[in-house]
Amino acid sequence: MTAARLSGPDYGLFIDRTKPLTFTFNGRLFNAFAGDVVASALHAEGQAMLSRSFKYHRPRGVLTMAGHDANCIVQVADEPNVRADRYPVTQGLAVQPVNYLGTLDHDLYAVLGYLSRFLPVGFYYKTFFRPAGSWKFFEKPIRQLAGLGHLEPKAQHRYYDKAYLFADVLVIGGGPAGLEAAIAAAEGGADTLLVDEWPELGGSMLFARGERGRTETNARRAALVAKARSTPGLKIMTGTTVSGLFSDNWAAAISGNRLYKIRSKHTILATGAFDQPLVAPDNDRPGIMFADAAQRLMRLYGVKPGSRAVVVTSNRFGYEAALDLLDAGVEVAAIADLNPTPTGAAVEAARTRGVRIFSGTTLAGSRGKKRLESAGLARIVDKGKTASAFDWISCDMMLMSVGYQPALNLACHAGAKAVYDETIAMHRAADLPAGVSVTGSANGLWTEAAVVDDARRTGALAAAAALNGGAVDRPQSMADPEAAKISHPYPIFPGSGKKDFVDLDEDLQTKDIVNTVKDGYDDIQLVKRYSTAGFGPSQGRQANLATIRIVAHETGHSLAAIGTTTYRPPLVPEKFAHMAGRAFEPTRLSAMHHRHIELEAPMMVAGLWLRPAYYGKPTGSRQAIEAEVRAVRENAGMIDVSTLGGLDIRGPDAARFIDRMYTWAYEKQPVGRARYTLMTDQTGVIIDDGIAARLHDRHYYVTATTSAVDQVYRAMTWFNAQWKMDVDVANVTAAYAGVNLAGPKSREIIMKLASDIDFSKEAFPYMAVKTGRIAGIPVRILRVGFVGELGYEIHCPSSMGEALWDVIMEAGKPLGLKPFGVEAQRILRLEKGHIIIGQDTDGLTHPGEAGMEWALGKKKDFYVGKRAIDMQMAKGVARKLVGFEIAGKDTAVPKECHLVIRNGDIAGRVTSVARSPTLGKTVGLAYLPPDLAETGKQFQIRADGGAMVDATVVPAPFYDPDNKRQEL
Amino acid sequence: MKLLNCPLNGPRNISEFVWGGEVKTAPDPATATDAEWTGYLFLENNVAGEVSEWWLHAPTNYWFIARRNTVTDEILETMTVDTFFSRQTGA
Amino acid sequence: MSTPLSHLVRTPLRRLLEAEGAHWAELRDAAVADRVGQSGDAPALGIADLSPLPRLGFKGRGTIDAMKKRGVVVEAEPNRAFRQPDGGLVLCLAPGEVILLGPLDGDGSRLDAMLGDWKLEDEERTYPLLRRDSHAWFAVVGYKAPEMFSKICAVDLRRDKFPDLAIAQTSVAKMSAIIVRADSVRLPVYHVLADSAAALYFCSCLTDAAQEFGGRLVGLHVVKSAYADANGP
Repeated sequence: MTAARLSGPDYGLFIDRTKPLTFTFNGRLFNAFAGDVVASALHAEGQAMLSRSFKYHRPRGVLTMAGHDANCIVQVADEPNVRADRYPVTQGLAVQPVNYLGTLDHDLYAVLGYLSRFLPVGFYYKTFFRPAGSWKFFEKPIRQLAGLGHLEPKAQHRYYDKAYLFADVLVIGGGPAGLEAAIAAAEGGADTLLVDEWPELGGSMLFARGERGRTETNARRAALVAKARSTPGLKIMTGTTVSGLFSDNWAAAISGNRLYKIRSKHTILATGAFDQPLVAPDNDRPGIMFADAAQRLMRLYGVKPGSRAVVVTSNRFGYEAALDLLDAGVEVAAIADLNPTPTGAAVEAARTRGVRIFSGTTLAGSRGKKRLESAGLARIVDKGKTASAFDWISCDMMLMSVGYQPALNLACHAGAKAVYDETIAMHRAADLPAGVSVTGSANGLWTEAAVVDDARRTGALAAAAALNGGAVDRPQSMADPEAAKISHPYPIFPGSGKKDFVDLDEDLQTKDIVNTVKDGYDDIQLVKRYSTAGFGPSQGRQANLATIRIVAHETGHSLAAIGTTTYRPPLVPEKFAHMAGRAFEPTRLSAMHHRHIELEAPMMVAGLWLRPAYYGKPTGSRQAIEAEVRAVRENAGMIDVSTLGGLDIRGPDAARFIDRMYTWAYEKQPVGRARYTLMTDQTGVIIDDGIAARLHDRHYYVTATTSAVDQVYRAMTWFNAQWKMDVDVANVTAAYAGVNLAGPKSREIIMKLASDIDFSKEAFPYMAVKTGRIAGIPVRILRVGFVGELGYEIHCPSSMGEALWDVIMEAGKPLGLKPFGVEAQRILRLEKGHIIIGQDTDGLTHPGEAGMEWALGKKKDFYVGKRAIDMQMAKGVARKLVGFEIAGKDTAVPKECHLVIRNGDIAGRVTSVARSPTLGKTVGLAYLPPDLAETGKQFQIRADGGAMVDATVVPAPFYDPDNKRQEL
Repeated sequence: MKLLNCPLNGPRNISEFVWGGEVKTAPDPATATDAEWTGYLFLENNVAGEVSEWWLHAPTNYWFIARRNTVTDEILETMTVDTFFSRQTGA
Repeated sequence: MSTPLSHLVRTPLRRLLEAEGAHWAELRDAAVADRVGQSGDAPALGIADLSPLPRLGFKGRGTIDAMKKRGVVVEAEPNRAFRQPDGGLVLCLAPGEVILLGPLDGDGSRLDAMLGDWKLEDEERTYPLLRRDSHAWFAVVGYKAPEMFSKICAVDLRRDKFPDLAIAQTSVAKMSAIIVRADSVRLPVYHVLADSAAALYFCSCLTDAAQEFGGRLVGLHVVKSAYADANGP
């Protein structure tokens, strides 16, 4: 096939003819130039067919050359859903068509076109729901048929990221209106950002003939772009597509592998308008395209779009395209004008050049296999009706220009409504949010003078609004009398026996929309969902308006009354990779983290933190955990507790404040002593626990659980914003590292370290708190015992955490000190019957249920949750958390959350359970009904596989019930 | 992404903030009936219109009050806690 | 040569900086990475770990008065920083909260004394906070810093919108962080304070974002030489 390229300076703006390339399409080699897109190169080489349609597998070709349609979808290597008319060709690019079986030229699925009468609208809803299960059977072949490319599971990973951009005024669209508006905004002093999706600025000026001819249009573009580029305060981004506009002028824009989040004070939408198709029989053959598409092929890529054309139009743009074709040496066989009496400068120019013009005429049929071969024209006899007599005119292309739909998608994302204006047969934006303006053809303005005037005023007002704050009066959009001559109000001419496509993505015809209404779905939102009109990749850019018109025609309502479907972001396809970006996932590591790694500890996630599960290889995890438990019980163990939350509460009201925040009593707690803390919310539900260490009369150091400390801190500051107590609350979690040194030999170990603290039993008893230094490190030491042994919780500034770990490990080594992880700690604390908030409690657990009545300050007038707890205690509990044991070594061990079953009903739930190496039996905690929750009662737990396991209620703690060991 | 104007830090993406619920006045727990207290805990006014709410700027743990319209999704004003309560007490 | 292990106080980035071939400079109680990598030249965008340098916080409603009493240059202007005569920087975060950043020479004696002399009994309604432990400290040096930050932070830090000594307390790469602009004589410098426990993560986000601008980890000397003849911010 010979390349049909045009030569001359005004052809091929984007391509570099000195840089030829080759690529493959469907395995065949094609030539291209650098700057070509896949579709332009294919069309240049005579490959008019780009794809097969979704349902009937009809041949389809170039339609918009702007990435606005679904005809152009191809697969490029591992990337599906590529728009061939926007995707640049690179050397060796391997492009595959989609949605065919066999070859694109001989698609075996094309037989479906003959079965179309068996595929009515609502086909899926009507067909596959009966008998039950039938969808399961049909799903696979249907999915095969309906594919638009394939996902490659081994797709190459690529670097995608996101970035913020800031501007006073954001102008979207770099056409005549956008350029004027951006220049005016920048001249008004606003920091202005102009974003355009094309590689070059100019919008329609890049390809259109224009009111004053191509030469004038070119000169105007050059001057405007030069002015924009030299205007101070105006930043320009090309090749960047805004895909969504959100609250408070927040726009999402895609540029290459980056998603920009643009925040402006004012957004101007100069987004132009989308071509609207002529709905007529066989209006979908390759070679039938919008006039703009043909002009883009010529001007942007230097491609001669065909050799003999028919133009069907209702406005000057069709005539201008015809004149451009003539200038490019393309024969124009005829112009069919939908208007009965065509007038205007472009009409006269076409007449002068001897083009046959059929007035009051439309396309009524077409012929051709893989490409258009002839167009059938017929006279229009009534709204939507043509005469039966046809003029068949041979041609290899047909250009349509019968109207536009303003691109109001972004305006509607931001909250505006698109309201149909009968006078121009197009929609206009209404109820625009403050800070969003629309200009240019998106605002219903089509003549140069009107566009320039409106755009400049919009730009200046936007600048003023952005700089002065607050809203400024919206510019009155000036009337453009020419606007009424652009869009034909009903370019829809159904014909019997042939397929007239309303929606090319979904292969929907006029009758499908008519039948949808007849099936009872006459609301536009329901029409869309039932017929699937506008569902496809083009998102109804070509289908929505025609659908609305047909529904209006069928129902007898006005288009304004029909309304529109909802425009939702994204405007153009976005990749998940764009959404994901760099996927920021913070990880917090304790100061001792790398010591755990060096000791081969598998790390487990605890909120944002990583904590050592145990030390050693996963293959020996059970033995490792049991050895850690034994070390704590027999010698000593050390666990990193740096992740524990810490709060410093200081000030004259510190004691009173703690007293109100926690359930127990703290005002009389002596300095130098620690006390258990239990926090409930206002509804009496347990939300946290910890230890309050009174370091000073006016200073409490309170610990909180790793996952809850941020909530606790928020709650404390929220309450004190109202109580106004003279106290300061600070979250010092990250400031302190900590270890828990526990086991009968822990005192011996700690006493080996140089310290100003007296560690003797008398001077430093159980639940005492001391500050001082060990081995030079400033520490806060709490004698508390979560694991139930003699132990010291040592907190130090986190910058010294690693040093603290090192000195204690060193001192403990000769005495059998082992590090232990979270797994061993869970067993150790369970042996002692200590609960873990969030594991042994749930979102409804109150202290009475969890057996925590002892931690309620009954004489206190107030603490957060007291009123609710009093009510609950008065009512009585419906469940109780109790200890249980399972006798015998061979029985199945239940897991956490396994259910307690009584008489076939759920009676309770296991919250913690473990095989205790110390006790040689399985122990756990479970919620039981009060009548079952008495010591010695038997109950059954349903374990894995339905095995029923017998358990017996026993008092907790299971280990050292008299608490002798922790008080050593 | 909406903007919320923090009285301490200025306008920020709403993702920096945590909603703290409508500003409610707790009845006196010592004298309230069970029904009154339960109502305070669990019944929400769920106003379609202007509401005053607690908001927290998370990076600074700063609580403040925002008045907003739940129908139009407009944030009418934000203010410090002190300003809000001094207005409430009829200053 | 000094190493971090000869001190009790260590930066959370110790291993990363060691792997990058850091040369350590001795402070009174810690070692700070003075040079990182082979190249002695400062890159277009440098990210320095200043975590070993002294810093201290005070919080409470009496804080500003208490600071002024101690000769600290500060006003109750939230989100503004104040240069100190000794080269340090004081950040006013809220009407009742400050962070004092020590001078770049690492002299922590003034802050140590402030902490040592503070007593609850003085009833000043100001309470110290160990910011050297809670927060890692980075300095980002170079004209491309605002563009780099725009990839990880939603606050407009461009030089004409975020003036010298402005502070943003915001979310950076999904972590709470404090960003302070304190330009040097030669270059824009942004100091960043962020959760010390997430310092490694945070550093990886900074260096990832900085890569396209030729940014990389540098040592303290790059920051010091940006400040040229002055002793600090």
